Amino acid sequence: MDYVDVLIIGAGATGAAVAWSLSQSRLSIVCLEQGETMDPATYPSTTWQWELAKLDRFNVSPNVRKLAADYPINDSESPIAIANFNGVGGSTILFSGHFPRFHPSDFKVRTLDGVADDWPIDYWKLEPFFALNDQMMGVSGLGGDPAYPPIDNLLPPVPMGKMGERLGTGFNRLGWHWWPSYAAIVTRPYRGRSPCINLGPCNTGCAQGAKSSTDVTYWPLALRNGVKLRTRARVREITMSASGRATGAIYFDESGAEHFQPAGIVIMACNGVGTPRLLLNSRSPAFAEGLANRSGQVGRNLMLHPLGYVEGRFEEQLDAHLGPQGSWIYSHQFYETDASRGFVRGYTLQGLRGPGPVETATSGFIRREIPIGAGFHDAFSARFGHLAGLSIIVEDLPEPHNTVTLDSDLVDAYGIPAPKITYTLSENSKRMLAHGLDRAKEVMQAAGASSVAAFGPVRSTGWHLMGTARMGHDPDLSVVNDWGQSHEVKNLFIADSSVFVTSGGVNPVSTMQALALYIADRIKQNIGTVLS
Amino acid sequence: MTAHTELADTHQTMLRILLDHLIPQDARGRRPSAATIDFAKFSREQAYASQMIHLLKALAQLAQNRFNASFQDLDNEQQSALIADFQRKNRRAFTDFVIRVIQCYCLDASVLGALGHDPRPPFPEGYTVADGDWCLLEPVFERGQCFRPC
Repeated sequence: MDYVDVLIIGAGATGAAVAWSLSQSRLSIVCLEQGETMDPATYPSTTWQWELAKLDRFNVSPNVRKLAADYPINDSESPIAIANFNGVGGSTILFSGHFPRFHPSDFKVRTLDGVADDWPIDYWKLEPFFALNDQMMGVSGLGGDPAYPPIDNLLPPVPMGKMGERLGTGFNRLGWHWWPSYAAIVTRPYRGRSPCINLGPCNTGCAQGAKSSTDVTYWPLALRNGVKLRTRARVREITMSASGRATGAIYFDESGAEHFQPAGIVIMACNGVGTPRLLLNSRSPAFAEGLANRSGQVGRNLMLHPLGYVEGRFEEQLDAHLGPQGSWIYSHQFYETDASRGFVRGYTLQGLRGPGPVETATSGFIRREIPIGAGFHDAFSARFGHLAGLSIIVEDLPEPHNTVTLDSDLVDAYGIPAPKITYTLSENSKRMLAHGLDRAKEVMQAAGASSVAAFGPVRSTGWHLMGTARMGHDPDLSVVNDWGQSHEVKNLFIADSSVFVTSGGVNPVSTMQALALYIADRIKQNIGTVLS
Repeated sequence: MTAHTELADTHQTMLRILLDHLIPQDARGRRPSAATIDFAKFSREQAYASQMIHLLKALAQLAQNRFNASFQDLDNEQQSALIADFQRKNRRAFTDFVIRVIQCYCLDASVLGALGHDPRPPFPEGYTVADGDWCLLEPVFERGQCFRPC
């Protein structure tokens, strides 16, 4: 392969943002992606059987999907199973589009709450990049939200519907914050994309192209600017020179043939499991414990956002199943720390619209709320369109014993060691989760739900993968500096949520993309130094 | 009635009876019995056919053991009791079977229509959802800033 200035590994949320940003320079850029380019015509919402597709080929777990692009993950020692998607667009193909930013306080956890650490950057440094990312992706919402500093240039919010009004009334009775979701979903024609038409199953890919996955936002522009995107390319390791610089990556193409892509700069965007896995698999005499891992921090401090779920059933038919499934309304009433609650940090209550007919019936049967026999029809009718959910997204703190390591036995189709997840919920997380479940039940009851069910942590919810190559000023306690540059390998960068110092209590995509744009910007400012 | 294709006659009859017990026609006659759906075809598409036949054979054997008769020759009350007994003795397999029956039933066009749900894929027509009354947010806005300044 010909030498390129920049090699990006991973074409997901952050890889796409970095690729576009750097493509505005005259740098030669290649991106290697182990998955393939998606075809929206094959997304489940184009078929009647869309609910069944969530159970196999569009399942959130790679261990269930087992597609050629997937690698196995040993998450048997974690109460939370890892969720991801491998393809151009990465996990934005399956994400719900819920797109809140970190709060300013999320960058100052040590200073404000005496736990974890402060980030080496803050919200205000990222604010221009949040705004840029919103513009590039297309984000809907409503200005004036008291839970955030001003956020401008939002498209109109996704519709609330009758059930959203009911839940909002419940929040109002309690005097609690709630607001329309920030959603990476365009609600008006936007940059050649058609607006949302409420297909519903956003989390199996958007056939309309209204959900702002990076294959329809950043990638068309990056490719037009000359970025070379090579799909079905599984990277085995990043290579090093004797002088301590990254020289490129060895990867397998879809036929299993091995190639070497030389590069002046290597940027990793493989997510909070894939990035530490690749670093740990990239051993050399200089880095016996994994590339850029003299601190021992690679793979440590894994944060996953334990999630709870509360479901309310309402007597009226409120068409709760219609609309973008995971982008609706949200609450940050309990987001900022209040020590009187018995824990530090806080959580998001994220509204989830009701399930489709198949999931309504099967989950109702499993929970013994829909019987077989003569009682089936009335019980089903009492649930379909009558159910609304609130998820509780808990901020978990970085703990060194929560890790991504290499499994001693499990390998992928190319013989590359698979990642192993070791994770336990802290007492702080457990107390926070219990608090959130109780508050969400209160909301449902205040909104007039006739019955409420609550449970957590929900296992198949490990979408948010953070902290495993953290940023910081101290090379002994962090893997990269404040602009994602490895402390030890000056032409190696990490641009995904592996670099997160703390997890916040919100979906990470908005923040990690803003951070990726910031990192790309700093690389451009320092390109001479980095490439030399 | 949709044919339960490619099953032996005995198993076809058993399957219709069993499906009718699981999800009978509703009292108002608006929603069909699960006996009307082609569950055998669905099972083949889901690579579940052999497990389904295994379950039917086990149910037939239980009927012989308990009543010394074939399942389809039992009266309605006896069939119900046998199904409940089978469920207790084979909980995991029966639960898996029922879930698949429900999936098949809820994906049937005539059933979806009877549920008042347009029997079509979501795309390309989508659905209409009312914006809602954003004035409900006034009390939230009036309470003012709730994030920590820093």
